[in-house]
Amino acid sequence: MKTFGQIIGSSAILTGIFSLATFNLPAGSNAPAGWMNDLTPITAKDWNYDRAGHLLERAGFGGTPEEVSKLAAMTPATAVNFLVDYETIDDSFLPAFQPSGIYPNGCKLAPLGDAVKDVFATGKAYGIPAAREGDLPFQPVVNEFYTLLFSEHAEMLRASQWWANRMLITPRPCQEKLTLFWHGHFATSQEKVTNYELMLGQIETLRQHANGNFRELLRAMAQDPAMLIWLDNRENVKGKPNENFAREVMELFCMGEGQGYSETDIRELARAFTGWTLRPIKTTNDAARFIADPKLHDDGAKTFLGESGKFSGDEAIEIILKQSATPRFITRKIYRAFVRDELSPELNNHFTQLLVKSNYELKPLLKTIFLSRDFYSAPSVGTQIKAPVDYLVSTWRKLGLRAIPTMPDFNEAAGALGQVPFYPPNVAGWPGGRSWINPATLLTRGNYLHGLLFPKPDTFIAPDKVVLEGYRNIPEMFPQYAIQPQLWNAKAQRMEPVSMKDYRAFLARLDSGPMRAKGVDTGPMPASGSMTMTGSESKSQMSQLSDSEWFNLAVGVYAGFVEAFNRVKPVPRAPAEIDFVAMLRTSKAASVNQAVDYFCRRFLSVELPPDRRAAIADFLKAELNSEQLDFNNKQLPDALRRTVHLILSAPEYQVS
Amino acid sequence: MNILHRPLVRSRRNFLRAGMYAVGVSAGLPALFQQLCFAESVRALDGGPEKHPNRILVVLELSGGNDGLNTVVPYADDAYHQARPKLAIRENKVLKLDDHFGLHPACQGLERMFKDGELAIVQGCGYPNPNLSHFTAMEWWHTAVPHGNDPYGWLGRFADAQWPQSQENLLVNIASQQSRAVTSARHSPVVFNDPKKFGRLGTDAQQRVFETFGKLYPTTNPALDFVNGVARTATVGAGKVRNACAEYRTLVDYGSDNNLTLDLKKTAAMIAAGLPTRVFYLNQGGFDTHAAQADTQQLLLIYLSDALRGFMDDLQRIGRADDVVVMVFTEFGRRVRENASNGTDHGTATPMLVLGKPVKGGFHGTAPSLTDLDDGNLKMTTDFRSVYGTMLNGWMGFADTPSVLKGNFPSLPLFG
Repeated sequence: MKTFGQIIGSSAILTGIFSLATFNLPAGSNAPAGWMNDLTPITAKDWNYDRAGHLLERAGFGGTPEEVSKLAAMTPATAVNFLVDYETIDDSFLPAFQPSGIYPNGCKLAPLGDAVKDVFATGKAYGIPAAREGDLPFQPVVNEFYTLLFSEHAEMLRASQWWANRMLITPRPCQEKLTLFWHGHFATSQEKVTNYELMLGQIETLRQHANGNFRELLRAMAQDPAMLIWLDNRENVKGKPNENFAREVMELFCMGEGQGYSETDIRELARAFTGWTLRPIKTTNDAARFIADPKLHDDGAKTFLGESGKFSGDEAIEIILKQSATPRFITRKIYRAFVRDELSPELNNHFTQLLVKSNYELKPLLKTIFLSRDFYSAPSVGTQIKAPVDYLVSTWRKLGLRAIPTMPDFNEAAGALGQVPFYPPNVAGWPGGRSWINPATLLTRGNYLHGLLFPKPDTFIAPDKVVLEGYRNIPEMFPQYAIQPQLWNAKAQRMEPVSMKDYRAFLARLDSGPMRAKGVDTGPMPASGSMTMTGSESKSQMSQLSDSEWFNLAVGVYAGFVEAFNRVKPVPRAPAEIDFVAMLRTSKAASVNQAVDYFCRRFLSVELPPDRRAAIADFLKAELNSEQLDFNNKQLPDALRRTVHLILSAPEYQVS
Repeated sequence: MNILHRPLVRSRRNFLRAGMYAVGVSAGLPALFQQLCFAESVRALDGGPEKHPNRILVVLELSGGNDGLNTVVPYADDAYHQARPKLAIRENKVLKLDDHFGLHPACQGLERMFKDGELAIVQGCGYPNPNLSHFTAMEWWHTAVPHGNDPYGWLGRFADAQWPQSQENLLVNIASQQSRAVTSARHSPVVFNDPKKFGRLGTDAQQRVFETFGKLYPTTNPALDFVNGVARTATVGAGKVRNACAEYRTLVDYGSDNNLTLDLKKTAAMIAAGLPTRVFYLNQGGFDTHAAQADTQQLLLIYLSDALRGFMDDLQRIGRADDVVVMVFTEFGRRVRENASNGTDHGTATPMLVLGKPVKGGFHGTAPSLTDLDDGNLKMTTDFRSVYGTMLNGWMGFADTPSVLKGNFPSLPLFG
């Protein structure tokens, strides 16, 4: 497997360019004041290590000194092309997602109400037989419903971890960075879609179009199965329009709120999208595919954004793309994501014209931005708060990791920091910027690093294999159903029944342990939520059927929970392999001060203020009881870990 | 246990009142705390034009959709008993508040507050065209923008407008994830769950370095300035929160130990310690009672009622009862008709509670009809943003509520 670093740089390169003697201010701080808002491409004369580092940070996920040095050795245009024209880089070695196989009965999640109808019609549901009378006849169906529900989320989290690993190891970092950006733009959540295959499919579509053409991307998203479920367009039919997608396509995906469209335009647009739906409309048994159903399409005349005609969905999209608000909105969003918050009207005009002239091709825009003096001016450098996924992936990249560390758990960390891939909070995406940082998330960032740098495999509790808080009491609550408490046996990689005494001891350890049980679900009674999630009407049909004679809800929840554990493959757990001593040897640092400077430069985009830097250097001196580095000192590895933990906990590490 | 509860606490509070004078100073109790806390909150304001600089708003979210009809029970309404043959609270069990409405029997603490005139019940709260999804409905209550998108919460927008300068420990959200309700453009809410873990992991020597992260220094980088501000809140504030919670001792009975009890005790601890917090945001979960509602809701309402009453008693003890008001809401009520599994499904309008010594207790607003329904659901009679606006204007003394709530909503006479 080749990493980005291996492709762009071999080990010989770095020492010359990246030496301790050239300690500089961050890239932006020595840029001429006039560079702000100047789109002139920067020249080779102005190109250096820091600017290459800034480019890799924003267009990718940062990297090791070796990787930055390699970019710095190119001309600016070559470096930008290298990142943006990534199609030429072979990434065939990247591992595909390995599904657990959560549909052993060949059926996907469907609302429980439909399953009940299936039982009465066919004697089975979710591919398993169910009785219509007797003692708890529906129990197997209810168990399978919860098994599928929990499996969907657990498998999605496996896929999320797989994607984060891809961000780490891809030789095309800009592709994953753009894909993540578009995921936040066309924000779709598994919370409602509850079909991990469709979610992964959407990400793959975003990836295919990431640096391509916005027109194609928009069309693909309008017909994307996960999107059709997420914004209800699958239920948008002639005579009974659903405006959800129509509203968001203008407000959030293309034009911006209040930018030249009315409520009437939303209604007319919804009519144009009628009939864009899925087959099958429910996701049982078969993968859902997009179809434009002429029978469900309202072919009447519409007046939309000042034009009149019998518009189809495709034609309506063209009208949206003709609005000047659209390129204006898209370029602003891209600029804010990759450069900085404030975009001058002049630059916005320029980018708008550029995007229109290129017929919505994204590459010219991206290259203009990444090459411009403006991108390297002081207000653009070190002025963005790292998003949690950026923060985690770039930390691994800067540490030179070759595989995602699974101890601490990625999804748990990302969740605590507020950004789990595939689970944006709503259709507006992650609010981003300052909302990423509050006192708790700031401390959590530092404490994640503590877990990463000081892993404790012996007491580590894998969050994907732990009894969720809400389900813990079920065995005790329902002894009449002879429910055995279950524990994950890490060695055997499966759930095993345990005695109530051991179970209680385990729960006590969890409560006092370093982490509380957390999981994909938020409460002990997900029934209603799950019904909404799977697209049925909000009133719970299940509760109308739920009766002690038909099935027991708590038993179903618990059984589904345990069965999902068995169905979804466990995440192999391994701490990160990090060798700070080796880094220092390569850097030729000899003193504590040089070591601190080396690590600051390796990890930070902005300088530490003198008192913080001094406090960290004093700390390392005290740990080593010396101003010099002694590579034979047995204290050195731990002392360096603690020092790096300090540097990465600093406020300065939160921006790039 | 619950039946014995009320008289016990009443006497215990009296005992505390009497005892305070004897042990006040050595126990580090009220008089000293009050001075400290007033000094700190006034200092934090920089002499701004605030009308009520000592007032505190506590917002408690009941998530999952609490069944309002079985909380504030229209026991005299035949339609109620007809719609809920199994779940209706019988007249002889109801804690009667007047000749039509009463409280669930678990709500003895609330009953006492109502009779003391310290509990306002606002009937029929909701908004036009309600959404029955937990997620969407809760988001709308958080942003106060139904059928819209807003990145900030109503309390966040309020804080931004009321205190344009970023302030430490102004908004506290006791939770593992920050609520959208307190998300603010200018302020960094203190979000924590376990005060013991609200800190940095590391050796003692590392902790001394972490301290330097709390010191501000000027930069030309707004993002870095912001993070430094949060780091200061985290370094200084987290320590204060940890210490306040660790050192807090109270003999007031909050009822059984549950998350809400613990969160309200943390709140009392921070108020007692004089943190300049003006808005606390708390959450109690588990109200999504589709099945076997009676037992679940009873337990949750015992927790709620006992904990709130204990909190009020504790505020009295620390001398801040005149400064604190609690508002309780849930994202929706439940359907009028019970379902087949002894539960209730997602509904619409539901009462909101506002409590505290300064509150003008009693019933406010109009209770929705149980027979004139909208697809089986209650028709709302009070826009919840009227209650929000009243909390901001009537309680916190903030004038420009239309800008925060993005519309004009009539105030309710909840305060004298």
